[in-house]
Amino acid sequence: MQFRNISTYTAVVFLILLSSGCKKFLDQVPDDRVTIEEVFQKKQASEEYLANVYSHIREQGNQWTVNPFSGNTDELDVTWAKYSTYQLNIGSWNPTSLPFDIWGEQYKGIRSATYFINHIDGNEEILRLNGQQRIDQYKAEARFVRAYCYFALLRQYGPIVILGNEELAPDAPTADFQIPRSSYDESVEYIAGQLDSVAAVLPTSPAEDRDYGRATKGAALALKARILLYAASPAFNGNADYANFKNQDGKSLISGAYDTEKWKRAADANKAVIDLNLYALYKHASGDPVESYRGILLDAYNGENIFSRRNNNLTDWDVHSMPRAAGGWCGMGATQEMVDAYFMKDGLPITESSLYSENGFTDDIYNMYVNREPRFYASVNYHNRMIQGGNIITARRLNFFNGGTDGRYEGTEDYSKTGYLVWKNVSPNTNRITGQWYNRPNVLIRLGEIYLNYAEALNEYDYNSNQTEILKYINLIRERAGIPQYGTGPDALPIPATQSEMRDKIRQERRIELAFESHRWFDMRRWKIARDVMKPVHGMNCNGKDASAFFVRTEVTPRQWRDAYMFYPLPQYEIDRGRLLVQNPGW
Amino acid sequence: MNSFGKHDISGMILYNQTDFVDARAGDFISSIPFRNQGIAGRVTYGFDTRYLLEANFGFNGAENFAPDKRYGFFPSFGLGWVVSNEKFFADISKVITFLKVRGSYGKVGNNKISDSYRFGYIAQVGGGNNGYAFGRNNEVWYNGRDISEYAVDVSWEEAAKTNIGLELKTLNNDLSIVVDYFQEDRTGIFLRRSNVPLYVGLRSNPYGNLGVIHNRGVDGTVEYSTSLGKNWVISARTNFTWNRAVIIDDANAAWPYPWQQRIGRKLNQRFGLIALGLFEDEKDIENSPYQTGIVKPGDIKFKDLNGDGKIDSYDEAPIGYGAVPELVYGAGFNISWKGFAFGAFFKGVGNVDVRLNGEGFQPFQLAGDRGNLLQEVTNRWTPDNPSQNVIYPRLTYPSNENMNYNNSSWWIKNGSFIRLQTLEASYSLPKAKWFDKGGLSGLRIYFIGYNVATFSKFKMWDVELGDGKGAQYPLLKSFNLGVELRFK
Repeated sequence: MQFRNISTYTAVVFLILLSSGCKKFLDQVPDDRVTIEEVFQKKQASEEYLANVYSHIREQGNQWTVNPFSGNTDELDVTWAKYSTYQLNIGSWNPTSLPFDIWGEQYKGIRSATYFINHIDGNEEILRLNGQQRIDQYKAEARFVRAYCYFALLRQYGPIVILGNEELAPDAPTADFQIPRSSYDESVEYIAGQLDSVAAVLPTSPAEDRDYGRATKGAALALKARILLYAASPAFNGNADYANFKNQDGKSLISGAYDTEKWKRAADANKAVIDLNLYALYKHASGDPVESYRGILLDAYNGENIFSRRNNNLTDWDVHSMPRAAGGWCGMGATQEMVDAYFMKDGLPITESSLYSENGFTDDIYNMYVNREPRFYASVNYHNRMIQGGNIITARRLNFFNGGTDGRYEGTEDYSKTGYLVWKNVSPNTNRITGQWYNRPNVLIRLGEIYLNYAEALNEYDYNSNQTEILKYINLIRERAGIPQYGTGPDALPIPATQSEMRDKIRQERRIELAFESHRWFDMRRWKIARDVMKPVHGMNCNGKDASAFFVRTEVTPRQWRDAYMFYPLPQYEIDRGRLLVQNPGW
Repeated sequence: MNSFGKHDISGMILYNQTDFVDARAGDFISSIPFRNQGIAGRVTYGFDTRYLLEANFGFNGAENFAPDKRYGFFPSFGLGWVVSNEKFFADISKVITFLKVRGSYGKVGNNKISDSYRFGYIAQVGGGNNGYAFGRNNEVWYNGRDISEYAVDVSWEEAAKTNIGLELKTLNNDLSIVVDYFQEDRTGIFLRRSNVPLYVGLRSNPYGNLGVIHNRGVDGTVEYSTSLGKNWVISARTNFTWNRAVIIDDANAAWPYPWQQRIGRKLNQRFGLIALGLFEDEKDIENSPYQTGIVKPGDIKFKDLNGDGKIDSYDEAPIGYGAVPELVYGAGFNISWKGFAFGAFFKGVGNVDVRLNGEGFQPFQLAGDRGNLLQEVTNRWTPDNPSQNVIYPRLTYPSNENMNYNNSSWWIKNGSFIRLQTLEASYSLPKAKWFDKGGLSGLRIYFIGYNVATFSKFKMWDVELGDGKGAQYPLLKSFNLGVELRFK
């Protein structure tokens, strides 16, 4: 009978199916695949995991599509409207259309760092080859990077979500993911505390050549010093604007109370870096202040470099900043505002110096650019300047006039609308035409900044009793810059008489010294001057075909400011998912 | 098939196992053999050609899941009742020659999580964010490494399908009608969970059996065919389908405002801002909610749904239908008289729209590096032509300097159309003696046109190309004129 046949057959099939051999048929997980557990048993794989953690330290060479911190300020005009800096400048951004958003990306780095810290212990290969000390060092490095990521978020988005030492399980119920923002001060305390703890473990300097670029004790202390300076600044210390900026449970996120001791702490933290005696201001062997100033960023791993990123986009920065004749894209336009900010060679601002003139020419150079301080010549290219670099093999004059070799030109968008180009940190050894790329570390923290941090904090804490110390460090910066100092040395300038005068001098010094190094965006916010600064920027008239038409101050591109811009908004995606999150004010 | 008396029975059982090796696998994971195994069975039973019953089952195992989640059981049943074969129907069967009612219910499974993610229960390790370099003189480069996909405890995705149908023939079998109602309830759809905040720091959102979608539809066909006298044959047919899939669960975060809600709405429902028209003057802008960017008269003015004084994603609501038509219908006829034949078939779709967007659509995108100027760009708002009834708002350079090109109802156009899909005419020569000389048995001259005409309100490109910028290869119009010779 057919029925019986079927049932017999069925029984046979079931037997086959249930036999172990058959079950294995579907068990074909490849044996040679690297599992995450195996990653942490091997040295190379673990170091690669750590490299992935490090990769979340953001490079700052690309200031057009990766970082807005120069192009969205009054120091730089990125000429291309297609790049997102333009969108920020015209105010075309909101929580759903958010160029330069790093919120999610930085939190991936934070999670990976935590995962590394929690899984690297007991790595047998590292233990065998290098011992426990290396594991402790790597853990401290990951913790440093995590603190760096938290700081990157804090300075851009304000109060952060702190996740602590455990990763959240990917399949946890949504309720387990709900964490409110910590207050600004709590965020600062957490990051500073983490950096203190890693500073105790990290080496003072790289053990071998191959370790350059890894986090060191100095990097941790310097990052902490910067954070404490930010936390003491007017925007976060005694700022009443954020009285209503509260978590859902009513917790205030930015305190309105002023505490002078914050400045003291910031000063001490910066002094601690100086007292390591590991770093020195870079000076070129020739003693030429222009070369000295350029070398800070171009001479790899010099003694001023505290922390840097080995791989970065700086050769792209070179190409985007170089004049057309040099083979560059001719698009990183220094603004007139920045040109005006540089001192004269007598150390005075253009508004006070008798050397400054906007009339006439000296050796074919517009007098506006004559007798300026060395840092100006190290940082800005202007019309008729003699320059050599890139594909300009023998020095020649730049021509920014309309129709000139480096000016506005029919059929191309690649020209500076300000009539200037940035020259700072642009290596003449990069040549796009011949395909030469001058790779160098992207300096993220350097001693010059620490000096300026220290002077600023001391001045705010107590000008009168710290005057000597403040002047010492400001003057060290000015000495290297090759300009007269306050109260000492040749052609000494008078010592600023009041705290307020000193503040202006320090801020001006910082604006110049740290120009195009991703500081201005944050400085103008923490000083609460952004409303005044973020006005349309100017340049020379790039449409001018001759001197009389060209050398006219001309408005170039807008700079929008709304109070909401103090912080980046949290992405809308995040607000929709983090149910305890509050959006930043005004967004 | 065994038949005894009025009973018809058949049965079958199958063991199947597949082992497929992709010889052209481009990566390691896809070079692992693709394997499935399972048993399937079927029983059918019929009684007196009046009652029909069918039962199927599948017990399937898939490689993609953890051992205890590997097997899925997928039964299905069908019932049919041929009413016209009942005794009580005898009187009516002269009018209604055939009537059958049928219904079925069954489950099917899907084990394919995604093209790139085969083994859901194992975490995958990938390159992480990026590598990093150290080193003073020589660069010491490390590749990155991190979890790329998290292990998840997933199993079969299931769809329960129900179908109820009616078949009817009448007018001496000249007219036949088939109507079906169908319903498909998909559960455990593979989806990445989308309710995890970014600060959790996951490299990718994990998959889960998370989605639930209910699909309902009606499908019908009516055919009529008859001869009039000796020479006329007339036939006509029409069909239509309507269906709507609704999201029941999508593993997404809860939306703060009801108009943003996806659950309970159509699958692929479009969302966007609601355009109120174009700004008339500066005063109009001042008195309206804040929109980002450089906003001037002639820019699109949006509706502030939550009333917070600014236009943002909280103001996005359902707009239009979607890119897939809910309603598809067709109708056609053939008439022949002696050797002449003439026929046409029309196809139509409804409840569909076209969204204009993309690089080829926006003028001056990326500040002139990209973008395109369509001829419709002349139909735009200008200070001299401040019309609201235009295709483009004020043009800007670059195009993204304000919210004009945000997803909004402004860019949604009605996508319904009726198309004369085929048009056919032919003449067959009557048999003539000269056929034999050439060895011919028949000779026909014909004309067929495909895609002859389209009737739609949408004129910018072939409406069936749908969303975007009309840059796909369009449907061709073709006209064929032919002679058909048939030889003995």
